[in-house]
Amino acid sequence: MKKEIISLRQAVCVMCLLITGSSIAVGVQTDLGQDSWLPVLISSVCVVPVLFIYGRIMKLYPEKDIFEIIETLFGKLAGKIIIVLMTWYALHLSANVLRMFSEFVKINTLTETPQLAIMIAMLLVVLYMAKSGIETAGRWAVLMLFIIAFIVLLTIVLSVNKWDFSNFLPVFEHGPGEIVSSSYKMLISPLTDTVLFLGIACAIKKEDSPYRLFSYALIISVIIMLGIVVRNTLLLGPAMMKATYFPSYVSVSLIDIGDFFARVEGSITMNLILGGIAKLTVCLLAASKGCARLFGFRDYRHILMPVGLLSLALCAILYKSIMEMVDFEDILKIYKIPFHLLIPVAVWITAEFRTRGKNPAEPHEASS
Amino acid sequence: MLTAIVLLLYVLVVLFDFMPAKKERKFAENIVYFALLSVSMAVLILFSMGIELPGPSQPIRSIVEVFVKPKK
Repeated sequence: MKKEIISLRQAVCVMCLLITGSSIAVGVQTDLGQDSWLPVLISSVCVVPVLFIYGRIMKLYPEKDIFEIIETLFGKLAGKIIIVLMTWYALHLSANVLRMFSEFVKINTLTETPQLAIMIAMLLVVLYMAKSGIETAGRWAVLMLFIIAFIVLLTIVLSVNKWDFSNFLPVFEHGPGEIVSSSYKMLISPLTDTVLFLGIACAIKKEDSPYRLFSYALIISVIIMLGIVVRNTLLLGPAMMKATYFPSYVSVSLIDIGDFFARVEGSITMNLILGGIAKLTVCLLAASKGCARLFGFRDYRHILMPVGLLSLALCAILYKSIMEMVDFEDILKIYKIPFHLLIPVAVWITAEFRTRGKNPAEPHEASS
Repeated sequence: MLTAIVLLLYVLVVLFDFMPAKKERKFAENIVYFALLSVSMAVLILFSMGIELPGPSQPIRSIVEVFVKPKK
């Protein structure tokens, strides 16, 4: 199988879309109402050590994906168990993301269309992209991130006549406990969803610094998310932001310039689809790579289609309604800890010991 | 109607994804391919017929609640 390589710029764009993919339409954490911008800033600082760990894993084992690293470090049996867990997580996250997008489309635009049909249509596009390979996804992400950032900026500028700065008051109304809780939610998802990027880390060149990759991606994503949260707060206010499932869509639907420029919320749907495709592609690529490693296959593309369809089946039975989906977020914030923090930390610590023991002359790069 | 869409989807997958690369794949790969395909097809057909299937959310909730009871 030909080795797939993407440039640092493409990798940054893929990671930005992985982080902001769902936030674009669904909106960023709204628990704190007018103080919602605060968790974005706090979590973006707190996530730095976690991203450093991810970067360090990539640095120690360049041009290898997390599944290959796990098998190298933990051996066949323990390695396979951890690979099963990570593959399950990638599959579950892809089903979750697909479900969220289908709920969005069902509620806001295609109200009469069966949800399964929406899921199938979305998944086929994603599978086509994933089948085209990581390089295609990388090239696509560069263009899409530009379009998404432009649309976010445009909606901010066009909504200027509706801005209400009193929506930010009173500032710091919430207590430290609420702020920490909301920041943690933000940290665990979407900021550390980047763990799945380790599933396609084999496409990053040895010369490209993973620390730079994570830093650039974090900075760009935080700027986009701050833009989204500030826009939503200015347009909707805290009460309305909490009351709706999709605050970005509702806030942009308020844009109305001179009675002739309206219905801009279509752009949010477009952003959602573009961001969603990228996020789903990374999830499915990671799940397929995990499956391929699990069964010892050389080419992950051979089982990409059945893995994608398995994700579709999982998505269909995941929740009974959007209320259950929203309610499940409280469980997800704890459920994600082993996949986002515990397993990567275990991999990192083991990798540090193994690489130092094996090759003390070159502590920063593993030979195998 | 939905069941027909699901069946059509799987026919197309077999025709355009499985068949062209059938010889490139090893025997084990073909077995895993069909096993995964069969599981997803069974679930989707039952779902399209309106049969309620247990999802993974409840088991995940039970496992998480063993360790910590999330605050609402």
